[in-house]
Amino acid sequence: MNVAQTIDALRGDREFTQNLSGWHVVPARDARYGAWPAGLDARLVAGMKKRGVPQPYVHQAQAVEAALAGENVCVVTPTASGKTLCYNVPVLQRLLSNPNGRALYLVPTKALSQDQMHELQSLIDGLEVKIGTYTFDGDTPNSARRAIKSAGHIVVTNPDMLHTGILPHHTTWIRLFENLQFIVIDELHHYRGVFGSHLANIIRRLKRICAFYGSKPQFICCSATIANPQEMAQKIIEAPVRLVNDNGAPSGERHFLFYNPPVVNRELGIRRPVVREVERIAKYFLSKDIQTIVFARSRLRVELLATYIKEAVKKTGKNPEMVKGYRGGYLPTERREIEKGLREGKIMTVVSTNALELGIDIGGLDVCIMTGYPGNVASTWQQAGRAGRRNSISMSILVASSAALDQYIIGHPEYFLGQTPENATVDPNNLMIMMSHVKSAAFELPFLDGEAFGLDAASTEEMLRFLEEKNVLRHVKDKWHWSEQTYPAEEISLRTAAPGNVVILDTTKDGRVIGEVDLFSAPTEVYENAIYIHQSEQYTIDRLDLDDRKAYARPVETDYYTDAQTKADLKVIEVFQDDRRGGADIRHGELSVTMLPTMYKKIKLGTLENVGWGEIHLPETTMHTTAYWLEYPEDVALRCGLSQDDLGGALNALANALRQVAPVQVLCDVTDIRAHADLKSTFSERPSIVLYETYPGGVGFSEKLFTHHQRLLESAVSLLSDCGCKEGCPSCVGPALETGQHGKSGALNLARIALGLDVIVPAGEKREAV
Amino acid sequence: MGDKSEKIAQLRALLNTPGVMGGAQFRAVADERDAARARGDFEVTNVMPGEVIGESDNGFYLVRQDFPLAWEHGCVPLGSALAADARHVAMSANDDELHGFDPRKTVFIDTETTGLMGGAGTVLFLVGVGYFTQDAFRLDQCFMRDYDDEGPMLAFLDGLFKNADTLVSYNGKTFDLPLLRTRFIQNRVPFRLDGAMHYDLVHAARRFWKKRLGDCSLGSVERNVLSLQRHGDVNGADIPTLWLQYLRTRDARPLVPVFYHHKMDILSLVSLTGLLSQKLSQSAGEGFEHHEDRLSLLRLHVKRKEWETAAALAEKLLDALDDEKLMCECLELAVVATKRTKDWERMETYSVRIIEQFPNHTQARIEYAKHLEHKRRNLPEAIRICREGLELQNSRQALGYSPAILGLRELATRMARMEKKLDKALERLDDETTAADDVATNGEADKSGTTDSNATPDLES
Repeated sequence: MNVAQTIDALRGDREFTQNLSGWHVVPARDARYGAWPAGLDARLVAGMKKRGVPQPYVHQAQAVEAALAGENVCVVTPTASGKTLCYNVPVLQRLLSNPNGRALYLVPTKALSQDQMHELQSLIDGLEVKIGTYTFDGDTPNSARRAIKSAGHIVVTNPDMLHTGILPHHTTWIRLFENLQFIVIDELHHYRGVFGSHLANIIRRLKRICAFYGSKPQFICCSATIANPQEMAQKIIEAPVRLVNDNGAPSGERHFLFYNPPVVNRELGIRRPVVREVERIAKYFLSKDIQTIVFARSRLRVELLATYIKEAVKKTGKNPEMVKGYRGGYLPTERREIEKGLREGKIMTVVSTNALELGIDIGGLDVCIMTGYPGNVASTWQQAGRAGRRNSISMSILVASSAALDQYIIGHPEYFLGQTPENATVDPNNLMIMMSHVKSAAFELPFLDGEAFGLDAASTEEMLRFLEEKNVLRHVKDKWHWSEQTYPAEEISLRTAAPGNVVILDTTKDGRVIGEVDLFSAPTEVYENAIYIHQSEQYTIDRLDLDDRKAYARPVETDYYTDAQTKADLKVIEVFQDDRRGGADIRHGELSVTMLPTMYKKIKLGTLENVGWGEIHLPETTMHTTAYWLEYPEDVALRCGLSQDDLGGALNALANALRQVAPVQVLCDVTDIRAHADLKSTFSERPSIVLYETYPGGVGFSEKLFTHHQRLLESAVSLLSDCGCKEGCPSCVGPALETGQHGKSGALNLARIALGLDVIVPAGEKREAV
Repeated sequence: MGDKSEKIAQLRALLNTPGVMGGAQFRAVADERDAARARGDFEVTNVMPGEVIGESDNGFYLVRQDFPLAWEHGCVPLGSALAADARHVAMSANDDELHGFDPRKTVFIDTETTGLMGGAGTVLFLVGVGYFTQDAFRLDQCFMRDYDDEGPMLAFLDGLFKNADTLVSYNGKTFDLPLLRTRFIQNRVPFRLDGAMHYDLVHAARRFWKKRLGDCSLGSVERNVLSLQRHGDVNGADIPTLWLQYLRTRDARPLVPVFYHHKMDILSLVSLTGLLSQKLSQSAGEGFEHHEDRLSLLRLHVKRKEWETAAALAEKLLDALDDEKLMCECLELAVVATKRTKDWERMETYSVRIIEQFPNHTQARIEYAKHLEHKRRNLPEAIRICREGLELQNSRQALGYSPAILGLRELATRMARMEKKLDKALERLDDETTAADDVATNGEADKSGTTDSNATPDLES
């Protein structure tokens, strides 16, 4: 049976279709072509013809033309639309006419850099010219490094290597910097939040060094679909960018299904476990010999699903080797084999973490099943993009888990399909992040009086003066010199905001570092017995040594995760923006947050039930960050018909709901923001709800939440109204036991008040909302 | 109450101890020191003998010292470097470019830095250049009083480098030279030394002394080879902080040992160059008192494919050796060398010696058997060597040693192959002998050539 027939069969399957909240079809699309710009080297044109590209798609033509005309370009088109040509062609064109030219490619992962290399190399082989392309990362052997520095025309690297391995040693890279023509940044959407803020500063250092050597490279960026790619690109490279997003690549007919496992316990709001639902659906496609990729959000789920499906296959007498699991932790040789098996059709079902989301070539598959919402629209499109060969029909099925965000999405397929992806945020001027890079920059080249880094010269000088006071820099005549014997880049992690992080070590692997967390977040993320997740693998923390900045972890497999409860004390330092919408004041500003973790909850994966708790004995920590908050008038309890106690529960409920749907507006993870509710806040003595960022200094999420406040609250209202539970459940406001009897209805009213709508009281009457 | 007066008495007694001061007195001393610093009493100009080159606010500080050529640094005078033979330099460095070595066109360089990990922000605050003048050895220690001294200092160094075509350093290839190049690039001054020859003594030192000394740091080589003791030296790892602190305190007194340390480093480069050449001037390595060092020399000759020299040295060394381990390696190298010079007699003597003295040396047996088979065409002897080895190893295997390590397989296969070959040859010999007898019986004169049954058959198959 082929894919089209299977799809028809599914349509007729009532048991299946009754759980769908949406079935959307995107019609097939023909290719739309453009023309190569005049003057493109004949060898390049011929070379591409040889590789099966006689003419470019419209977006490729536009991108190449703009790049060769001297502009910075950002290409925003889906996977498998030939994005790599958009930068390989201009780069090779320049190198063909200027054999001394150089280009730098920034790629997020090593696996991707290998892919880039192959792609490039085959294109170059067709040209019969000597152009050297090399990857330069932690694995590059010393013997190769010298050759790459002097003779590498195209250097493929990643931001971490650029940060510690290239920029601080720029004098050994003269050839590269003197002749740098292009900088290519692939998977731009990947660099959001803290990581993106760091990248923007690395680019500032890079441009500074280029200026020293007299070059002025252009940027070519590629991004998945986010709401604001041009804004993101311009914030990261700090220069005007031409947006190319008119996708001319062809595609077959694509079906998008939104599947919600049926409810099995109405009281508690518990649904059938998502893993078993996915297993059933995957087995169905496998039995029809349809190549399928299943995405899961944790290693545990990947292993579980792969095991279940393999066992089912064994029972039917077929070869279980055609079902494989895949994740970043596998050895490179293993991963290459699986990728090859997929391309050759030997592997029919692959179960993977989001490791297979980013560009690695596995050919096109027929069906994609997502176990739970990937967390944001961009990732969802990336994963769905894995299904679909050039001209044939394909299907993607999003199977929701019980998490609130999943339930929101599954309840609003139109949100997902209707062009409102999240806004990505970066804040290159987060003070802590910028300061780290000012230090690195000073190490690379002394600062001159009057020089501006990121901000204006006066602000830069303030930072330099601050560093001088700490004896990190020394100001002599008109220069600011690095004045320590350590090496700044080594101490700066690109994934956290403040230096002095706590490193997490795997005690079963000789203390290998598996991750880092901010010092501030450590008591609430890596306390003893916490479940820490890294690259979809679970670890438990055996011991936390704050003084030594180390957390000792051990791999485990559990069916729950942990969530720390804290007592937070908030003080407003400064209000940046202020507004009154509806019946509440909304604010955006800087807060001082003092957090004391008290205990943690154990929450079962899948059903989100509370299955236990434990104590946390750690000191409080304080940090400054940015936040978005709501303040209600003192009589709001009356207006909602609630007692003070119930008001407390309702505030908590709404805070929780807002935190869960925040990712809908702003491209962040649920852990990037914390929610806090007070009956009488310390700063205004009024009922308030605060959403604050977990990174010191904030990276811009709060500002976005303030700006999109209306939509944020509307999403919360939607979530609560549509949730089938009676008084609250983990999928909307949190367990009813925690938010009180009127938690859900109270939260709904509070949200309505903030939106300027009428309140709904239990008796059915409406009351004025003034 | 008794307690209290006891305590006070104790404290009073303490104050009488030399070096102990009461708080107020300490404060006074500290204040006086700060005032002196602020006045510039302890600036480098007052603490180290030297001069400012250039202007006070656009120059650097030069500490220059001329040493007579007879100045002994370690067990040789500095002037010994002038007598260094370029061939020795080239050989010890295993770098034939250095055949052009001319000590009068050479700079001896060492640096002190603000960081031990390199990178664009590491500064060389003390750069020392030593070179021979008409009748002395001149050491120029160029010192940065602050960051802005760097430009004038590099310009001065550029002048010194102009007349040199070689530089000598210790570990300079990986450390000092890249850092120097970085400083020149950062200051946009062309770097002349990129085209120069480089004699990095650390590699020569390791070649001769690593086996014996283990630690081939300059300090270790100084003590053990140059027989030099330093007095009042500073720990290398502390040096970066000392300069960074000086910038703030303007107190150069803690830097005095740094200048000393730096000076000694460079003088050692000179002495080592001279001493090493002296040691190498005697052909059979007699310049080295220690057998391990002579063996290292032998190893170097073999590495450089200088077979004749190696063979000659090996012969002499073998007479002198009594340590078993050294003897074994010496014999191995001797076999390699004589094999290349095609001195079969000597090679066989050495091979037999290894096998006799070290019967478990399977590899030597295999090599010797190969030689016997192909060059001497002596199959029976080759087979005997192998069999003997096999029997020995079999008994060792019985004791628990792994066959792989004992090289059993190769011995066994080789032996089996040779035995087969021998059998075939003997068969042929039989046939020929029979044929010859037939002919003789038939009374024909020797038309078919004589077969000498005592000769080893020609068994090229």
